[in-house]
Amino acid sequence: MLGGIEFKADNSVEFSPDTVQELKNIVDFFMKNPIVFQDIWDQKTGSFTMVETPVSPDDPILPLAFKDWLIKEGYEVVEEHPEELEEIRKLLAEFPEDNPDKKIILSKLLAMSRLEISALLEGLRKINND
Amino acid sequence: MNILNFGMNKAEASQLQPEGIQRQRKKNESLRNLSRILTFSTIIGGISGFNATAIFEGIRPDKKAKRIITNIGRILAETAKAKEKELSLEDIKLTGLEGFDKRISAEEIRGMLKETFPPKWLGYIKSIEQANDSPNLSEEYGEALSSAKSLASCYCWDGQTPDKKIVFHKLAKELNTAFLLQALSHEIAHAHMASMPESRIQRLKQLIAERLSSPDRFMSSYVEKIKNKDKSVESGKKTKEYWATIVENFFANPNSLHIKDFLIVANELKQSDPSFDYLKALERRRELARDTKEQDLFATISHKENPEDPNSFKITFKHKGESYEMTIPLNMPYRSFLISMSGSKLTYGRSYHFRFEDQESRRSFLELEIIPSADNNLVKVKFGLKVKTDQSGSQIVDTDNLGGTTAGGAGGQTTSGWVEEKTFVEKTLVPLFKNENKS
Repeated sequence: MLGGIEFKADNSVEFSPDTVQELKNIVDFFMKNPIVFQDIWDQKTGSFTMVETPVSPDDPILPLAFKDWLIKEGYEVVEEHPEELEEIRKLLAEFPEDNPDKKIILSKLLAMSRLEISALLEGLRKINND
Repeated sequence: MNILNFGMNKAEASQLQPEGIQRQRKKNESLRNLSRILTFSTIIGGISGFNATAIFEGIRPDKKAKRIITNIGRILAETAKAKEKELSLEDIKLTGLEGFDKRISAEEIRGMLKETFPPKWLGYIKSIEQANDSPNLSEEYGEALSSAKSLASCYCWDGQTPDKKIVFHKLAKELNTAFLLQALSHEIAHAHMASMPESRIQRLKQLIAERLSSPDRFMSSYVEKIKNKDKSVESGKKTKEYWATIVENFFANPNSLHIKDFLIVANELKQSDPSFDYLKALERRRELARDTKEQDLFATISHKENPEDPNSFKITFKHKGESYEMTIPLNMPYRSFLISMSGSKLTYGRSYHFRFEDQESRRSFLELEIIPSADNNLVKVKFGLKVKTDQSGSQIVDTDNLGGTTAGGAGGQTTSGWVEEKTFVEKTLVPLFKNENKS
């Protein structure tokens, strides 16, 4: 893993402590000439055209533009959703501390992908509602 | 505390009835199934459309699950192979793609299509082309897109012919293969949606409409940037874009998707091309992206003595098929030069040390970094010197005469260990053949 990036409201960037220099360089590189991808629909030709356009460093779309650019460059990018982790912990709190399955899930929680976390959360919600 | 005791401790007065305990027991069993599914999911690489679906269908994977899924995968792969023969993938016309990424042949692209996309989703695509120009969008869309650079188009919604066409524009030729795969997924998703029966399109629109209003939707600039005064037009555009974006990630970066988005694509895939071996394709795509990344970001380097100036040497390297050469002044005669790293490849944004010895056998190191440039024909190279001396000696390295622009303080000195040079030089290089043309 190259590290973690958090975009603040003013588009300033904060790196997680384990971030490698390579990722910091990539961010610097992008920020010098930020671009955003869009798909433009043309009614006449019935076509979508994918374009890249410059984007202002202040534009609120910048974090998503950076994420999309990273993906296009071939990097694997996973968004973090702390509120989902919190809800999972809350739902798991309904189970006893020595429940082995709870232990397994909690031990893997921070390493799980968005796909796994959302699947787990949907499953827990279902269990809770049954 | 065991599960049963937990059920009893947590039970309210009204739940101290057998059915209350039963309910809690069932809840704990469900958690067990959930943790097993996730453990299993992790084993096979973190994702699987079909076992993720199991969470909602109540399928209980057991210890044999991995073997069973493997067998299913094999059967599906064999079926897909048999079906592939029936399909006319060979009929997709590939035009002008030979020079894409300056390395990949049209037949290699055909191979990528075969190996990584559902054959039935490709059935309606008549051609994939590389154009030498780019459409001018500003005439149609005004100032906002005056500086837009077109990358790729999908001609898929003419309403008359089922044949679709994907065109990569001029700029796309300079981009890498990872982009090619991403863009193909995106455009093929548009083409596939345009080919769906109306009933499936309506169902898909319903599912996506729910996702678009959900705070845990997949966030992408493609969708979030769409604004229109007419909200029904905005909604229609967002639906089509959301679909293309989740498909793009389903094929390339599934771990980034919410399970609900993953299942929207997985279920459509199961309906439209049930024999497609998704996991095998995903693995192959990752291999291709990895290979591509190495080819794109790594530059092979070689060095040679500079006969005109014994105090410098030349480094040549290749980047995206172009050759570059630079002279690095060392300000001292050197006796030998060793690349003190495993292999002989450089990657962007990472510093490398090259060891050389001067005539007094003092070891010195060159630190060099290649920086990608927004202009694909340029490469920036940043370099500086570090010197390592023995425990007793000291050495000062003069970097003032390296030339170029400096980005820090003066050179340093030490009595042992590294001299952490603060002075680095940045140079922008153009490919060799362009230099020759200029001269």
